[in-house]
Amino acid sequence: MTRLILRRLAAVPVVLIVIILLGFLITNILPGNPAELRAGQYATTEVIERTEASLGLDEPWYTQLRIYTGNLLQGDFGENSLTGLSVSDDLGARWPATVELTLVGFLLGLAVGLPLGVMAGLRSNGIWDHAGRLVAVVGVSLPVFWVGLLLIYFFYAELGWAPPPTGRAQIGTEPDDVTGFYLLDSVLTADPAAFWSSLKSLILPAITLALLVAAPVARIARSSVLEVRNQEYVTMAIASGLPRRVVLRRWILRNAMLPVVTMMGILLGYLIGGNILVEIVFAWPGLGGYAFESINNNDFAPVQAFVIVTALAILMISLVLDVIYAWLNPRVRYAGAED
Amino acid sequence: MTEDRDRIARALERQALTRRAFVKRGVALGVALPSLGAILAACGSDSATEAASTSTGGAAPGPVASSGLSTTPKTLIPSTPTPNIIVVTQTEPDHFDPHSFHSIEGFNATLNQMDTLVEWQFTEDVDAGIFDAPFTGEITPLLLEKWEVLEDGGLYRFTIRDGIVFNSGNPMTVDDVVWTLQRGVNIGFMPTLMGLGRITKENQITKVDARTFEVKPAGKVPEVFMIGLLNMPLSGVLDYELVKKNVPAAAGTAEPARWAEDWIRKNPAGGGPYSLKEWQPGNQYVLTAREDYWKMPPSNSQVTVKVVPNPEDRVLLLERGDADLAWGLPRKAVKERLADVEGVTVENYPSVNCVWIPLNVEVKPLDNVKFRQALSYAVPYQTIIDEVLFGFGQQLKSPVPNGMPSHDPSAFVYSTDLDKARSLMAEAGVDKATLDISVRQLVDDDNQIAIWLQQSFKEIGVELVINKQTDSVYQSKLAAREHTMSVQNWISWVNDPYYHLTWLAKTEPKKGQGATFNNYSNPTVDKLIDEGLYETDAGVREAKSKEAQKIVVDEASWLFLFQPDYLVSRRSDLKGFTRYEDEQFRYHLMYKDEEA
Repeated sequence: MTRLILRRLAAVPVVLIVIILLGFLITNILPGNPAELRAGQYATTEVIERTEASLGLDEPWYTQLRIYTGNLLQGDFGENSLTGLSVSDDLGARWPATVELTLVGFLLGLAVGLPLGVMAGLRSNGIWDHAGRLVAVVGVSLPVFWVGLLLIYFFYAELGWAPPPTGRAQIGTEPDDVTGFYLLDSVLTADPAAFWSSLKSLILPAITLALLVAAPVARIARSSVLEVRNQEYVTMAIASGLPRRVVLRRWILRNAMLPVVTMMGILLGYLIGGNILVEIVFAWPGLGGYAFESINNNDFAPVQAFVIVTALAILMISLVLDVIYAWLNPRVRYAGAED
Repeated sequence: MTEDRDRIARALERQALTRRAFVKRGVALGVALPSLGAILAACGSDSATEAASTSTGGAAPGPVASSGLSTTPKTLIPSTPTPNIIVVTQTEPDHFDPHSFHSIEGFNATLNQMDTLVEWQFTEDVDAGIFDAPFTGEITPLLLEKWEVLEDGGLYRFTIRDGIVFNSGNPMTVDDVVWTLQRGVNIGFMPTLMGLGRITKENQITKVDARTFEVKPAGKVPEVFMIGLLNMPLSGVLDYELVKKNVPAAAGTAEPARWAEDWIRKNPAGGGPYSLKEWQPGNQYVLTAREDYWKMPPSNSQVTVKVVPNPEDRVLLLERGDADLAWGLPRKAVKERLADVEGVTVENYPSVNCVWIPLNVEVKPLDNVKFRQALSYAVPYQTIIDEVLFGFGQQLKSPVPNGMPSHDPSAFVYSTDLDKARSLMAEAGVDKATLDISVRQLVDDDNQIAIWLQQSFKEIGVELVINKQTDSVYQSKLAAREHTMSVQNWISWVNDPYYHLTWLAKTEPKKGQGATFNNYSNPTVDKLIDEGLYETDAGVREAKSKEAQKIVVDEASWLFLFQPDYLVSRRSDLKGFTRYEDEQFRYHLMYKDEEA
């Protein structure tokens, strides 16, 4: 197992180098000039040229790449051309928001989707199956921003149960900053009002994300359980008189979880990089909106930083997945041990 | 209570508030996300549309009994400041440098923290609950005590007000003002603007004594134009002492390196009614009122400006009362939803904002005047105003908008007349054509206008391809003047036809420098603008402007679309809103009237 992890970790730098190069090249090829962005639309040519020089954009691309990677090694992602703020600070302020929302939404989605899918698979065409199908159809067919808007409309505008969609907490009730995670910070600073406020603000966006997660997880879990349930080794286990609980846990679930875990990995990676719409609908100040704006402006430094951070997150997620895989499936473990 | 009365008395005295009833007040409007063009707008407008406002003159009412018990306030100065005003906005400010910001939000955040040398005179309209500062009004000194025009406009002498204190606690001196203006010759978009005032070198701005400085333009500049330039929010005075303390000097000098560009972006270094309490990027910024603000204590203690990117959310927040004021609401929602909500007030004011489509005269067959005229007859003018603006606007009938001095719609012959368009096509010798229009993918107005044009143009055999672009692609093509067609908007910060036409109709000295966007060049127009710009005779100025307008309209290098209204949606209990025609919010007079 350790070897497997080490082997995977060894691949990380290679992948990162490729990502850094790609990010650099793509942003440089696309139209758009950070100096123009920085100097403003109506700046005179002299001002733009001076800005280009001060940003090092008048250097050849390989020199720029060298300076850029040199800065990266020191943890400096450069600066946002529009605001002049450090991209590292920008990301630092935003990633806790995204991670907090993603994790809560993801776990909530799993908590709903997994049992639904498993029950549906075990008792196909039963009531669980119908419930699962409903969730799946709703979750897959409705665009996520639309679900978010509907939730806001009913629970905030019509019923008045939900707090106003103003981001991570109601205005004026934010917890003091410790880690950037509001729920955690309000616990650490023993601030129940902030905790309650953050939790309330988190509920609707988390439900929206959860729906996005629950639907595919439930569908995959159902079909996978259904398939495994009809395998001969399961019939064999049941015929041998093993208790149902044991058969379920050791034969059915363990085997059925493999495709589900794969799906979870894909979903989590997708959410970290891409719940832009949910963030915009709920005014959630996370990475998604930041990346979106930067891409729209083709502002080199933030886009590249976003690509790198997302790639790192996905690498880490797939590493964890591989470990879970190996634990679930001995074949992976042995294959890893052999070489 | 005496304190409150004093406060009101002081305020009234300092502001010399006059009452003015104005009738024009209106409907509602959601500001279409003004683009950069709108920012760079100049100011000024006069008024056909404002004819409805009648000044009753009159002296300040004095500290009449706003004795707390009275239910009909006699003044819009509250007895106690409102603790917090919540404003929701589309996006956050880019930064706080008054010489180089490039977003509406940056502009707004800056001007609330930084006083300018002069400002529009504003007047109180108690019945409407707002202050009004029309472009037709006077420009009055703010940080200045007075200005003198010498040598018939060849030299300006300014005296600064005594006793102004910056947010940092430093007193404002002539050195601060001189450094700020000299910085303007070098930074961001300012050189372009100051160049219009014939100021291109630092040594044209000189200190005379402890309270006085002079500006010597390279040639005469009419007072209306020079003071108009100074009236822009860009003349916010920077705190030079504070900057020097925080920014290392350039090698071999005592001056902050590179005009302290990087530092000033992040640190609002000026003096005004508010100071920045906190800025959480992507989330919100909070302004704290300065109780010691020299002019008067603000009517509220704090303003929270919250980023809520989804416009539908902003509509709901305003509707439910969780926000007091909202930026950039969709006109459809304003008209069909908010206008009927109790507790929400929607007002629309005519604006000098111009929206038009520059036709790139270097692209065939747009180089053909007849063809351009044919297109002008194929624009569904009224449909666009009804369907895109939801009625919140008026047709644009000249490059100089209605509301700007010398506006002349008489040359505008175009109407939606497809037969006329077809016959002009025949005259042009163009049978069929394919054109493309570039739209910013995220700007609804662009997309909708393009679709209406596409449908109408099809009728005369012109296929219009809609080319959706990200902002970066759009802007870089715009900078290279490569768009065949695009939707542009513009509010001139100086409400002067020559300021306006210099940007929008004069041959660009170099592609990308100016704002014609369409490579249009007409030597006669250039000559008229050059002659009129620094002309001091008002009659001549007006005549030459009208002549230039006629040529631009005849040559049809624009598709003239509309002047969208300035739409403001606010909670009805939010009083003291100040209507400035630059369409920016000034927060310091706003308060919530608990009795309303």
